[in-house]
Amino acid sequence: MLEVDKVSKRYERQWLAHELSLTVGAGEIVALLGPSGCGKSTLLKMIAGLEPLDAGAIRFAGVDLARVPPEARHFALMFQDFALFPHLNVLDNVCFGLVERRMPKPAAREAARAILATVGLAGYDTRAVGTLSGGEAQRVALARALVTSPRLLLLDEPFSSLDAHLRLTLQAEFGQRIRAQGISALLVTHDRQEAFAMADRIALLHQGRIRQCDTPAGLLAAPADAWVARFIGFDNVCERWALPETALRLSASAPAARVETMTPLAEGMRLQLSQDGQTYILHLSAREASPWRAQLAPGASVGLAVDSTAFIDFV
Amino acid sequence: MRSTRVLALLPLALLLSLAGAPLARLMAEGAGTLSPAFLFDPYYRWRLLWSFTQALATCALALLFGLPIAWALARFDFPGRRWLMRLMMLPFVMPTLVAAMGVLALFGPEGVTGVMGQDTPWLLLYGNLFYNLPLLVRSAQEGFARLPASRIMAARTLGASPWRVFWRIELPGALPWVCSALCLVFLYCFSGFGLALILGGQRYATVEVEIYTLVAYELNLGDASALALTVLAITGLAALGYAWLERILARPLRGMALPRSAPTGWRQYALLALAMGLTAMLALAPLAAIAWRALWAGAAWQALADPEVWGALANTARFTALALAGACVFGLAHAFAMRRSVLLGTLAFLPYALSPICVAFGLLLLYPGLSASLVLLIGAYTLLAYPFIARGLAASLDAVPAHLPQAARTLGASPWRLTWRLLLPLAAPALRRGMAFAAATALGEFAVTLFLSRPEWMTLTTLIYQRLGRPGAMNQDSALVLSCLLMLLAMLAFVLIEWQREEARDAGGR
Repeated sequence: MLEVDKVSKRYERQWLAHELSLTVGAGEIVALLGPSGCGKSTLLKMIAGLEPLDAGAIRFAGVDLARVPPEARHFALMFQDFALFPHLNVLDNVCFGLVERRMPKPAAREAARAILATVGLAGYDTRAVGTLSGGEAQRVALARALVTSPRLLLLDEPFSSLDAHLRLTLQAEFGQRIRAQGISALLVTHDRQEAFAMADRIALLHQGRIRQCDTPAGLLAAPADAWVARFIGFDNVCERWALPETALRLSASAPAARVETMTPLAEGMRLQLSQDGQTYILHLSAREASPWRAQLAPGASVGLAVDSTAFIDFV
Repeated sequence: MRSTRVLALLPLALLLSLAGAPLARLMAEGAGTLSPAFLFDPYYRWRLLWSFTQALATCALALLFGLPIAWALARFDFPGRRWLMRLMMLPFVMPTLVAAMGVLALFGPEGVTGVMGQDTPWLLLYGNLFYNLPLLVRSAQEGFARLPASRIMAARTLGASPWRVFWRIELPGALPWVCSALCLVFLYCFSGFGLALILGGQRYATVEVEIYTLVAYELNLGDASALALTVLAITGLAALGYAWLERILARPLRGMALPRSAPTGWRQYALLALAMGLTAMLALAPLAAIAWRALWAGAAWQALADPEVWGALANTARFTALALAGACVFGLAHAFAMRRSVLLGTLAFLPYALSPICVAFGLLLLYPGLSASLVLLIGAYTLLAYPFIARGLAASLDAVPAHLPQAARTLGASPWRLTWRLLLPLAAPALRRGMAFAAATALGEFAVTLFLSRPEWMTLTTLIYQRLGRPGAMNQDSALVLSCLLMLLAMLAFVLIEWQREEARDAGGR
């Protein structure tokens, strides 16, 4: 469906995209994951037609979009701060796209009311958008994006302005809703939890290039390089290999390791251990840590078993 | 983007044909006569020197009276603060003739105060302050209010008394705002015409009045254009200073501002009382005096039955409506074209900075065949009125967050639909405010009308001037009554403007 083909974009001598290629299939949710300021949002705006490309092409269903203006692409873009129109009420915000696509006002209102009901905002029609809470505004933005049945839904850090609890709830809810409608979606985020929670495939963007693009399970099983491994949450990463934490286990019978640091966390502790000149990071829950409590002071020694078959070598 | 740049051609054509070309013609004409010997002519030297002195004196007085008011408005929260801020807007919509009549009603013959001020320089200075004190207060107030609280707090913890903090931290911090206002005060006072014509008398008239007299009564175009050239050079410098300071003001200040608090202690209450008293005396008293004198004018109210008055009213209404329509067209075009363009933004300020007398004189020189044509008159009105719409609208369009148009585009709105459904509704309050200002400008226009109109195109302002010039108490009183009428019309525009502001604030607060 969506095909980003060797797209390049420079901004002040820095590559935001460098011969970047990416595809999103029909009904697929792809997350574009990368650190803040790496050009993710710019890529999204290029796909939406709001920013020109320096080189390359963006195609949808085989059609080059270079000369297609944003309004004719039939995509929907959801913004970080929702971009609700302050001079329109909730219903008119949701209607906006339908009216632009020449749907008669009464029918548009009907459709908007129906979709507002499905996002749990029945009866919010005449509310001013300034009076909505963060979660409500987010739902209105989603309803406004979905009501036009876009060919592609573009989401720009859609949950980053919400509090942590609401974010988890809405990620699950939105993921299901988008899948239920069978809409292709491209989600931009710097939060790996969000990418893993919602996406079918995750593309890792670093310095204008896609470093790796795979399913969440595929990424975890075989990160392509050290940067990718670190970014998706591996703590034990070297230049040439990464080690999942499941391969590390404290055991009385295992070779001894020295406790370098012990950091108490809300849900347990983080240990830095060294064995044979190699440093390992290990997280323990309170329950796992309790038998070892006496031995976990810095400078003490504890048995550490390392599963040598679990090492993932970078190619 | 390219299409909006094309829009710039419309206002550029207006600026070029009605401001640029006439001024160029004026310069060519004046350059021939202007020489050191001309400037050393004792009579003209006195005119220039006095214009300069009264402008500087107004700056000094505005500073003296304005800084306490501005500081009190920026720091204190008190009942009626909002009204005081509003009152500061009132002079901006008042025609110069109303202000001049107000000062006469206070200090003229049979003035309310009983003090006779005619043929002294004080009348003109008082009239200047009526307009320019609010200008300085509003600007300085913003400077004080925006100053990061951390700076003030740091100074206090380092041992500075509030008085020392004012001199060492607050005033230096607000200085760009104060100076930019002073540039405008100087500019307006130096090139002021209406006030000086009526309040200056023979001796204390400014160089603008001299230009008018030379053109209208002595037909001495050479000397007039040499004087106009001098005015243009001096006001041009002030305008450049203002434009340069504006760029400094555009830089955002970091940090939270100091929240306003209720005054405490007798000193603060005394300062507040002083601020309110000064505002009432300088911005309100002339208007109140007109109303009071008009109330007792009795028989003079019969002037309203005079067909001449009805004709003038009809002309004022007609010219205002036409100028407003023109101002909307050019204002919209300029506003959409000037977004994110510094050059076009500065050009929209040009008509404010130009002396109306110089423009009108230049138009006469350049288009002698059109000297009494409606097109030229309305064109000049439009030129003076449209920047209010252009600047207000552009500021409001720039304030629309970038992602709103982007969202609308992705939802299927074409650029044209986007303008119609999103940008114009969002900028509508600014547009209406700009229109009210433009209408007030056209309503009170005096200098250009005096130069370019025909006798049968008498407007309310020129009629007041004419009545004032006729002998007899009855004529004086009818001028007063007509000024009162003009004042009420201007207040209507004021109410429209402030009512809009209120609505905008409510919407923003939600």
